Amino acid sequence: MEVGQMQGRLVDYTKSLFMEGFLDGQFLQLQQLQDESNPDFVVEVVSLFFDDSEKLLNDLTMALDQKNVDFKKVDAHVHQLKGSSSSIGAQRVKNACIAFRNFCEEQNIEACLGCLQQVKQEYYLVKNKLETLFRLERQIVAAGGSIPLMEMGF
Amino acid sequence: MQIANSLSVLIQQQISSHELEHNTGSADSTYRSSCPKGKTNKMANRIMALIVDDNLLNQRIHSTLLNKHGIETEVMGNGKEAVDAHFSGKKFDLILMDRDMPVMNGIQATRKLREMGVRSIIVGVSSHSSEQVKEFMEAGLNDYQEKPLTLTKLTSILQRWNLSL
Repeated sequence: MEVGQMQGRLVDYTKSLFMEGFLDGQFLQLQQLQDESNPDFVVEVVSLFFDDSEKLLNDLTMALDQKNVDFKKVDAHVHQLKGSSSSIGAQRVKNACIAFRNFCEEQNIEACLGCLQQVKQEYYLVKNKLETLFRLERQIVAAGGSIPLMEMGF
Repeated sequence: MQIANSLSVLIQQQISSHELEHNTGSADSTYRSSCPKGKTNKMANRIMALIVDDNLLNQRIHSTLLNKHGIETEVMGNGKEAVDAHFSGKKFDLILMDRDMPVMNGIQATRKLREMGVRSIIVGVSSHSSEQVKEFMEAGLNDYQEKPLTLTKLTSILQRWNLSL
């Protein structure tokens, strides 16, 4: 596959992620902050997000597994995850966290467990999508091409 | 833009007529070595910002946002670190203060800094509802912005508080 085709594929893939709600405008903000002085900014920040999220998901799993669930603690973790996902534009993860927090308030353990599953699912989906995105970018660069800038027409 | 340039010249003149001391305590800020202590140097007039947030992701994003505007940044992980830094003489033009942090949160830290006489522009940054913002504002914030910060939000903060170069 030649560079032009690869670039087209990347643009289409990125657009689909926005269309399907996996990413929102905040992700574009991150891309705008990437420049010559900060060439790997997006990958670095997303990696931080992955590390942060995986730790939080583990903490959440443990917190909900307790005999007496500390809902304040659970809520605090979800709040953190909501913040992180919001900061990188992982919209569906963020929305799942918002729903989760409502059930924390109600102290509804069953619903919270359901929400945790939902958040995990959304997280692994977006992780997969982003890893694919970065792989496509690396292929273009390896073939000597440049990463096309996203047009913000949506 | 022409207007923006004239405006920033005016602002520079205003700022230099106030007391604007830049602390030369930090070893890694190369710009400070060109700025004699106690004097304002228009040419080397850099804006120094402090980011107080326990989330590494936000520290990274907010630093980069500010750096993009030519603003130098330092980061701290909780309110106590920020307060201690000020106790040891550090000064900043702008402080981005997160609300929820361990050890000492943003509300407590802001209150403490104001009690200490810190007159920096403190902008609260958080994801809380409007009722909770009130308590934060009353602690002594100049301004508040909802997370996540964007280039647009930051630009409006800098313009509002005359922090653009």
